[in-house]
Amino acid sequence: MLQEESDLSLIIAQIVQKLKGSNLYSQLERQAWASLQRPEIKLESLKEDIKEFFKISGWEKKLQNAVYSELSVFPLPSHPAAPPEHLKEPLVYMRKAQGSWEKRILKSLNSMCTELSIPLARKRPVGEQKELLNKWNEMGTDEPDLSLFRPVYAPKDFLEVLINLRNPNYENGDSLSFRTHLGLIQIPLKVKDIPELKECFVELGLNTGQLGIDDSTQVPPELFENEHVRIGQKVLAEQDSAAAQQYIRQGSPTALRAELWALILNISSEPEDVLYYEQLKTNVIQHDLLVDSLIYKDVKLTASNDDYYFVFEDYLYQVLLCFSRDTSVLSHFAYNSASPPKSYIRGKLGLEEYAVFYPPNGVIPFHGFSMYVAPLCFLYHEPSKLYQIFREMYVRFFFRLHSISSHPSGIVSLCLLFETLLQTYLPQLFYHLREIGAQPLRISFKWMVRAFSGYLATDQLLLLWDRILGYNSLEILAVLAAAVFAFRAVNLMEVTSLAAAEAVLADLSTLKVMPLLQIFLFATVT
Amino acid sequence: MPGRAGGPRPGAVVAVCHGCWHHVPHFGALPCERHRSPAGGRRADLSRPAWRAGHRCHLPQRRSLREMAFHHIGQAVLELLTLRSTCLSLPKCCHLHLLGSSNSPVSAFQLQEITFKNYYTAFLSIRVRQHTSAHTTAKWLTCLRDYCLMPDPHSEEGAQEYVSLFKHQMLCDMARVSELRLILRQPSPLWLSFTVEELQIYQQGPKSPSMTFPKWLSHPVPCEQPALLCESLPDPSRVSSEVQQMWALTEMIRASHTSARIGRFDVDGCYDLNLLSYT
Repeated sequence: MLQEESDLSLIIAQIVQKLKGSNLYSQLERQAWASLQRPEIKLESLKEDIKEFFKISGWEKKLQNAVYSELSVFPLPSHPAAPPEHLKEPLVYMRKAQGSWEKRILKSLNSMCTELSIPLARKRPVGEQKELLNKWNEMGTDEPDLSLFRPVYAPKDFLEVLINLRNPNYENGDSLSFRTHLGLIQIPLKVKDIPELKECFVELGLNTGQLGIDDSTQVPPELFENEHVRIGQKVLAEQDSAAAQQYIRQGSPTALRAELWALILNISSEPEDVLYYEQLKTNVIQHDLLVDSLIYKDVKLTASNDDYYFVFEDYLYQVLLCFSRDTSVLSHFAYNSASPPKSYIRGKLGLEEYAVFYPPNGVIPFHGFSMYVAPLCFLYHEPSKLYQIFREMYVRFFFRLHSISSHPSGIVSLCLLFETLLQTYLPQLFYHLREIGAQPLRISFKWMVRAFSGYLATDQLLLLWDRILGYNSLEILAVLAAAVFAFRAVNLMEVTSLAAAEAVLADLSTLKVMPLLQIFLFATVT
Repeated sequence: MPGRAGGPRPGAVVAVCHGCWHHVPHFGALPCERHRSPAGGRRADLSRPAWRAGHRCHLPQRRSLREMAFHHIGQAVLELLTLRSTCLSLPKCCHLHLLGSSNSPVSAFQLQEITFKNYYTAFLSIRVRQHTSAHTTAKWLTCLRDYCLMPDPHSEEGAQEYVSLFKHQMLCDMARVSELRLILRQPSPLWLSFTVEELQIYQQGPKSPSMTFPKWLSHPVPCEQPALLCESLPDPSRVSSEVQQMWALTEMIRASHTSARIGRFDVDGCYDLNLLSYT
């Protein structure tokens, strides 16, 4: 009624305000000016004629995609009385927990800085700048001494923080009740059960064709694959984001994947974007950050050692170093429960005009961070486009995997969803693992935090990430983790220790993702 | 589906503990004998009501409820009445009874909006007592019945959300409200306490004063036919409407400003930092 109308106008006003600063706005303005030359634009009906022109020339579609992208990323405006922290995270105790976790990270970074006597940031001398510019494309050949650096934190440290998360208003008594959490997470967040997941992931059902299942060699392509590719090409011709998102729920053909992801994430490679990337590159060359060494260390430890991704080492440096200089990432902290670390220019402590964020994008990388970028290197070879795709994927999805929040796609909800699914549908396995001291979350946490990157084969991983984009949610990661446990349940019932359980689940590279998901959701007898 | 969970009906409020409430200008209560902290001091926990439903309070004397009036419907004054739950001592239901401060006389007002921050309340009912001119005691009317704040009372969804309730959502007429009673229910035994915070009640603003328009504005005189202009000149009414539209568009463009990002992370080319700050 009245309230819904005012809500809608508030949302519209917010989106308009956001789009006004964007590239698209200036392009539309320029197009409108240019269109005045056209004969069909009349002065008395200027507004309608220009609208008509936009519709015909395809600019309305671009605007539609931009609005759809804003709606998918930004949460709806909250109650007028709610402070901005409420939009970041509504539950007060989670905000506090995130704050104290961030303090720990900052302390760790500060102590690393003082121990190694390396400044947080320094301006490179001109000679060093020239040298770096020359070997920009082969930074992987550089072998700096990184033995003194250690990652700021690893996923298992973060897991300990989540295990100790408590709601002060929650009855955490010793006596077992109907709501005792037998897993590691002790927060009563709302998670979906299998009937609700079936409704949510209806396109993964047994009666719907899937890439990852129905494109295998035994199935003749006329049954599903050819038609699906044809529809995909049509969607790309229409350039419609929402249609692409719906289409990709059934998987994306390999040839079309790069363009489909760019369409869904609303990334278009304009000259301005290439220029922006070049600007970031200049920033990297001018200033050297401590965070750069952490990135180097992380890439050397993870991606360089991986059979699939070591070839992309240079790309990873180019993307991640520029990412840490990108101040446009700061805008995602409006809906992220985390806050960017702050500091002051030396000698100006406390003066607000000299307050800066460190690193400039506010994101401190942890052990395994570079694995978020590595799979994208298979799809995009041009550094500025690769960079844009990664940045958009990060501010839409990946940030939720390493910050404490109550969002349904946040890592706390994913862990709880995983444990609840396992407890409800594989109770014997859950009980057995718990008895031997091998809580299942201890094994699956690292899969979920990295969105399975580095654990699955790349083609399977990309099929999984297709569904993340298609459903705009990360819940599928928890479902897959539970499905993997269900698949190896027989072997797991025979183990007697955590180490043995880890060994059973050490190698996931032979798994096929879509059949596992389908069986777990739709074909398991409950 | 947890609906009307057990416990006494609203209105069956029993004891008023002498120590369990205290007239404070903001939401809070001093603890009674039993609620006192182990250290023994009467330290008031003014951030959270220090009662627990189901707890029997010892009454040294019964204090009559003073009739207090609303003086400022910005931050309402609340008094808490404890509820004796006859069943298990699980917090299930509590009342917040709005009266008013002692300063101004009783006045009825027209309720427009109620805003609050939820704290683990699952269902909310509101009852009002309207001001009647006669000396008959006005009845309590239910204006909101079991409004769901938390879709699943056992989980955190909606537990700390900001909520607004408007006049048009109420079942009865909200004119001349003199007393308001909020009935909070939380059927789940998992939560230690539940309440609403930052309660604000808004009354209807004064109507804009009626203006009398000059006669020529409301009843324009029929204009005479203008003299026929030369054929080559455009129609003046069409020109004026076009110019009006153009003017409106230019005004819009002038009023809008972009929120473009600057993009620099350093201050005047310098990014030489101290250590990271913890605040």
